[in-house]
Amino acid sequence: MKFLRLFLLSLVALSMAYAVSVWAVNPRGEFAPHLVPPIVRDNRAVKLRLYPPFARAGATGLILGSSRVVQMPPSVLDELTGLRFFNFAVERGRTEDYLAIYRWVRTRGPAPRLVVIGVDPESLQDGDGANFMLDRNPILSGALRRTAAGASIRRLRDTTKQYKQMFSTEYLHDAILSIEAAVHPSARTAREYVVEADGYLRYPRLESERSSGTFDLVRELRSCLPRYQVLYGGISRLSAERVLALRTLVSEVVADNARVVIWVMPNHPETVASIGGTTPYVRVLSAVRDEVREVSRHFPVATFDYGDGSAFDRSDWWDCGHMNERNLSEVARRMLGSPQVVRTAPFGSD
Amino acid sequence: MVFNSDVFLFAFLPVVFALFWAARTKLQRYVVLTVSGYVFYGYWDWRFCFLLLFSTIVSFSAGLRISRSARPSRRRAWMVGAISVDLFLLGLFKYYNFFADTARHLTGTTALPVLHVVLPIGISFYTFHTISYVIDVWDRRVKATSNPLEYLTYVSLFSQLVAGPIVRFRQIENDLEQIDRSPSEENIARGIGFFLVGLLKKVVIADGIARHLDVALLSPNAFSTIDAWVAAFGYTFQLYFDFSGYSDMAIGLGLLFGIHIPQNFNAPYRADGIADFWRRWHISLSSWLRDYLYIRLGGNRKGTIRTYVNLMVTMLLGGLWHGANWTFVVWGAYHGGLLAAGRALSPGGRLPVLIRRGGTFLLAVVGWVFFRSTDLHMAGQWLARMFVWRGGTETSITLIARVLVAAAYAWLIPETWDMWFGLRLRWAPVYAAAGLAIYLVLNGRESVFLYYQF
Repeated sequence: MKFLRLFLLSLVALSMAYAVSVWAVNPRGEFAPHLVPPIVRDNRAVKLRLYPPFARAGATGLILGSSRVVQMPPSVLDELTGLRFFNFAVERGRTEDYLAIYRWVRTRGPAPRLVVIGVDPESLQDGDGANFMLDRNPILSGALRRTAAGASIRRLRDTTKQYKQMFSTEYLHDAILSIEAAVHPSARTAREYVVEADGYLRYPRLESERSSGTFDLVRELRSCLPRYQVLYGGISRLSAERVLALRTLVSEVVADNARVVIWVMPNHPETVASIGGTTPYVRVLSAVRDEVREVSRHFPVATFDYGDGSAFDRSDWWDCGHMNERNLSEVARRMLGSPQVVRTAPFGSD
Repeated sequence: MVFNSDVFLFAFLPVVFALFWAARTKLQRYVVLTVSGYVFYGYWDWRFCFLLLFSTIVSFSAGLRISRSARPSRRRAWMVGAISVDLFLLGLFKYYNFFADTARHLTGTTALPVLHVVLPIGISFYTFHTISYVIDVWDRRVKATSNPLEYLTYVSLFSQLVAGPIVRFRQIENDLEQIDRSPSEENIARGIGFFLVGLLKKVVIADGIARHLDVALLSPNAFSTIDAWVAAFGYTFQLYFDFSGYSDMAIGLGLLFGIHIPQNFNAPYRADGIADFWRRWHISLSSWLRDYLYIRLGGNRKGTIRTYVNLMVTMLLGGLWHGANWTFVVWGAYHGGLLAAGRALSPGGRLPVLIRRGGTFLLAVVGWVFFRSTDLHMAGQWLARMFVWRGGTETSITLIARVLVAAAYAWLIPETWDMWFGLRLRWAPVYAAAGLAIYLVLNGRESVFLYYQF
């Protein structure tokens, strides 16, 4: 058994060496060391880190949503409302993420005065199993289950998951990009995401391609359509738990005397044309609209149905489901310039 | 539970390995392997453990009865009875609904109701294990074991239980008899080596192709000719690396417990004829079909026409063994026809070996279209796109690159059995580094082996 012993010893030693290395690089900004700038994939951890310093100067507006909203510029909302917005939209965001984020935000200071919530079939779906991005984030999953029993066991499990995810090629890739960005600051454009201090997320590579005229939306659409076929093929109905999470969130925000805006997020018209007839998308989108109407019947919220993406510029998108910052700014203008929102008391003077 | 899951790698395997080598006597080790086999199997659905146990008891008892009986008619009756029970269970769980559905389509009758049963995982494999044992005892090729634990260990051995290889009792009888021997450094080192190569084939190559291919195959009607061929090549290599990877892992696991599981693949895409392909692909199944079906039907001893009929019947049943779907029947008929044609015409006998290999490979690729398709309609669409020109391509460069890498591996790198494995201590850290690197790819991407569905 000498061979096996040496094999296992080597495996443990190599694993530890690897783990310490990527932990020190900390490419997703979720651990203590900050030797190099983080490169973000799951932006929950980074936004959790960015929010407290932002909130110290006062955070009076909050943007919640999925990756479809990460490029909604807080500065545009600031201008429109006079508030100070933080964009807390997260990748693969589901309504339980929104609830967890809001509860955590409430532990960091006064309640925001306006919360803008983006929903769509994905964020309310019943087809994707456990929310692993939330589960592996001990802070947010803890905020969601703040009163549940067995918290210490779950915390241990969450921490284990957090460290386990370091052992993946994606994590290693992020670590290498982080080091590259630190060594060659000009390589920053190679990074896929950069999160600004107000939570606004930029795509340096895509933005650089767009400004140089090499960004090809048609190619992007062609490449993502099969994935969206699979994605929406697996969404047949809304999740009761996620509907409940949305209602709980709205009730908690309203209880904090804050105002709520809910909007239905769209897909690119080409995407809808492709998946509309082959997946349950249309039916599930209709269920989302019904749910938003239902929420508005029970709570004083302003709602906007932008589920039809053809109402916006067809070229200001990154891919099948993600508008760029121009279209998202337009969404913000249409919502916050609307009498529905303006009619109530002026912002900041509740 | 699958070999590439965290629960297997970090819980099941270490615990079973430690318990096995901590045990000293045969009895203890039989118990450890049997219990672990049932835990492994029951992890998927514990209720089917009873089916496995029932099938084991029937074949074990029949083996004893056959060996203790002097009268040929009684021996034969026990053999036929045990096989009938096994085939009844297999038929009920795997084929009943298929035949009921087919009867309904053909006759419009609903006399045969559709049953809501789940296919017990691995039933095709362990049924063939038990049938081979009963026939071998009846044929006096193997002496029936009187030790029920030894037999339980054979049938429930977790390394081969769910997706093969189809190991015959006589192939591992000596290892089971000497299960109480000390561990061999060579077996451990080779076992780790085989397991890692298998994991690499599955996780890096097969799953790497599958991630792109599965999406593309959602709409084969949208294929251009290039897309259709790339998809066919992609599946050809995905299936090979998935199943041969699984087989390598099973062999490696066997070695870790001192059990020598026989070779299941021998570079099949380097075959220079369809008959040669079947001597290299899923060897444990093809040799099982040859020994227990083709030869029993008369093989090539009853004239030319009968030989072709026997080949066709064997391959049709071999196809159907893979699943209750007409696509598998057509796939089996296709290979039966190729084998018969190969026998009748000896095509390419005088052609250079590279052309024979290329031709055999392309014939296999076309066959896999039926094997992969969910129904004959899909197969028809896919084949039409392959053979009726349609321009353009939607295939990603990544998929093409992965297929090319897989092709290079399949054609240029030695089969795992022919690989050189460093067995000295100094190689242990190299194996550890390889294991860590493969795990980085695997983590968070557990996937089931393709042959689990059979």
